[in-house]
Amino acid sequence: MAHEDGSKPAERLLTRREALRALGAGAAALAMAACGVTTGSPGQVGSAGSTSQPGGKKGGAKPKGTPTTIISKKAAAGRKTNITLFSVFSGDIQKGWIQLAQKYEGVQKDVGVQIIYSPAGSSENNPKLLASIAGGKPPDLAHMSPFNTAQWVELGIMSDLTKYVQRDGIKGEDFWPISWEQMNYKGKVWQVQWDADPNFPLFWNQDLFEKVGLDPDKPPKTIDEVDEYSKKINQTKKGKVTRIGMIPWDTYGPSNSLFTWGWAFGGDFYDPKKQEVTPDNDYVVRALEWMVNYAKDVGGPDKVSVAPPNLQLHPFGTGNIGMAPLVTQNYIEITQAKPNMKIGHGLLPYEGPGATKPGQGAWLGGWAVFIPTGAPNPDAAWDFIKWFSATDEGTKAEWDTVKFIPCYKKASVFNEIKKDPVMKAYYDVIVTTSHARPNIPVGAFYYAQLDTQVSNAVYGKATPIQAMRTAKQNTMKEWRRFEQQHG
Amino acid sequence: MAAISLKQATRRRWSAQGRHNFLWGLFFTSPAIIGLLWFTLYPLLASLYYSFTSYAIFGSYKWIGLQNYADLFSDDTWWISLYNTVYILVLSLPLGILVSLALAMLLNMQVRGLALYRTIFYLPSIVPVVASAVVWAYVFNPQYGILNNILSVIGINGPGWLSSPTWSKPALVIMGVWGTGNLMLILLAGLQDVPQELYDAAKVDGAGAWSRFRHVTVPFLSPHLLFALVTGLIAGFQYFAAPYVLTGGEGGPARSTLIAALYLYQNAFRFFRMGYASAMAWVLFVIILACTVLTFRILSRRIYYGGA
Repeated sequence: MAHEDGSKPAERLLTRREALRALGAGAAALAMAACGVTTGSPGQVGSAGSTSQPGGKKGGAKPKGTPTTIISKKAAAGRKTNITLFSVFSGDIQKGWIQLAQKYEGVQKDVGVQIIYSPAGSSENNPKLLASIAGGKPPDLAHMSPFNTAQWVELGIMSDLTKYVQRDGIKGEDFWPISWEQMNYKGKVWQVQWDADPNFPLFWNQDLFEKVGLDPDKPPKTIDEVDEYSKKINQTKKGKVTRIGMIPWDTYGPSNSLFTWGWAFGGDFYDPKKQEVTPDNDYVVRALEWMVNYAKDVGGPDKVSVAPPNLQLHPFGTGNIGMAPLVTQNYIEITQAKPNMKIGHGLLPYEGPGATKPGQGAWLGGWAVFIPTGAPNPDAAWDFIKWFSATDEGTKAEWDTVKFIPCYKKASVFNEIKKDPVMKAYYDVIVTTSHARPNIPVGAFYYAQLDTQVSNAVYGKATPIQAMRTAKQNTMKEWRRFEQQHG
Repeated sequence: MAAISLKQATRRRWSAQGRHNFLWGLFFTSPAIIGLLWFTLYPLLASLYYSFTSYAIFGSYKWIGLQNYADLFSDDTWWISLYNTVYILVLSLPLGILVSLALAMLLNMQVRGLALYRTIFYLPSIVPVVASAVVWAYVFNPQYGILNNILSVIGINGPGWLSSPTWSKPALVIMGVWGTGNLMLILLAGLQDVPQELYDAAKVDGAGAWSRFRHVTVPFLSPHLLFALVTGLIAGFQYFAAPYVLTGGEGGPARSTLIAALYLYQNAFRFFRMGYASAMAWVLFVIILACTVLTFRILSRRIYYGGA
């Protein structure tokens, strides 16, 4: 139709109906997509190619396990006493815990075990557990991250287990030394660590090594060699790093990365004599400088994109990462999902002069169990704790069900573990390591500071030394405040 | 005299009936009233009290006066979290209103399948935040995400979005616009209240589409827009769930998505500084109150309430 002046109307590129249709289709697609992909925790910001993926770290960022199903357990019927465990686990790990509790109910007739899911939340803050204790209705026992021990003791929410430990003849030498150290605070035992969590062996992708001309049987022994190997592996497409040698700033989150590489450089994070945190230790700062330079060399941490988001498998399983420290669960999952992937394992590389041998960066994380103050049945709770964490029969049951490496050194199940082709890598770590994250009254704050400041340094917001000095200053200030107000 | 006595007697009778009704009313609303007092008013007043203490959730607490409030001024993370909150709010609020208005106007037209379109556009607002955050993690993935793939078609090498401190906040703004279904529905209802004869009269007077929108639609929608602005301001300062899910509660990378509510939560439940977190909550409350009062002061005279 022509206008009155004879001109033709302008042809519309898009009618209103078409606009609505296109917008509606987009919105519907997104909405429908939202309904179908909720298996596992979401990925985290800053982890486009991240190793901080679902079910990854325990004792540091998130409990391992596949958080797809939340399951609980009722206590067996007809018992004299029923105890309640607040478990941080879901998925297969929680199923393991249910089986473990059932085994315990099978070996004695007095105590029933109820298990309630109580998610750890970010940094193991576990608001459900803390609220229950604050509200005067604590469970009989609960999972906790060992590094929270000092702070939770100071806040008065943990029961002293020393009398039970002494009564039952449990000794320090029964446990791996670092685990025993974590269980004690100010000369008393407050929790029992049942998961050793050796962090970490180094794993390398032998197929990828071969592909880029590296010897698949020769892993890097030093940090210099990591850099050298990485140059051959790194690959960039359209400005994005699609294949990378290693992601040193994302070894299960910024603070865990710094702990790992800081110790691998020979640094330390805490001076117990001075009661002072030491993130500004020369070797720790050097480790951070290495992480920052590595990120710079590949074009920046935000350029790394080696795995799709929300991937259930650790990104190492994509074959786009050459070398990675892995926790047990992730390694097991990769071997199951990618049975043909050739993976080598050995000790973490080190850097002199601070460190002198491979594997020096390894440390124990893990999970512990404790009896909250005011728990209704502490005796029965202790009996269960002792069984699964400090008896031969119980640790074997734990290994068969939950499948976490025990801290009870005397456990006969270690004969199985050290012969297991998958778990041997972790056994090698557990017998050599001498580190654990510092157990101080402001542990959570310290690790949050390290998370923030490592991230700041890696993203170029501060120099490594500035970042570490800020972390120290803020942590010591908070420690003084905590002592003043709660001491 | 007799008339006065009659009036008094009527009032007494009405009062007796009124009191009876009032008591029954109280009885029926008592669950809500008790809930409000116990679960809202008490925690509100308790948090005000705790904001002057060193309360750590457990055990005793110490009165420390204004120390928590003073500490806030020297806490650079608090200022960063406020900056991030305001940044996201300033971008997402007007953008959200504009998109809702545009969608509402499109949906106010007579096209086939309108009910279906309305349903589809409303749908995202009822998808749980956690689920939508998971989807958006896919959308924003630098390598595999749909957004960067679309950008690459037009020759743009998209950024790292959520893994970039520069682009993480704009990413959250874009994500926020997706859930504008509620506001769209309110504006649509407002649009349907605009009398058609006013548009007809404006047309007869020679008003173009823009003039009709500016002088007819906007005045009629102004109460709805004010509502959107005020509730958006409040929600913006309380923004929490999406950054919490997307960052695992960390607010990264490099604190770029650490918004005020997230920092408050970290202090309360991670660092055991409930007193400090309470002080933050009250400062946020004062900021929200000031913004709301200011908005009403500036805009209340420009709002057109129909024939009122």
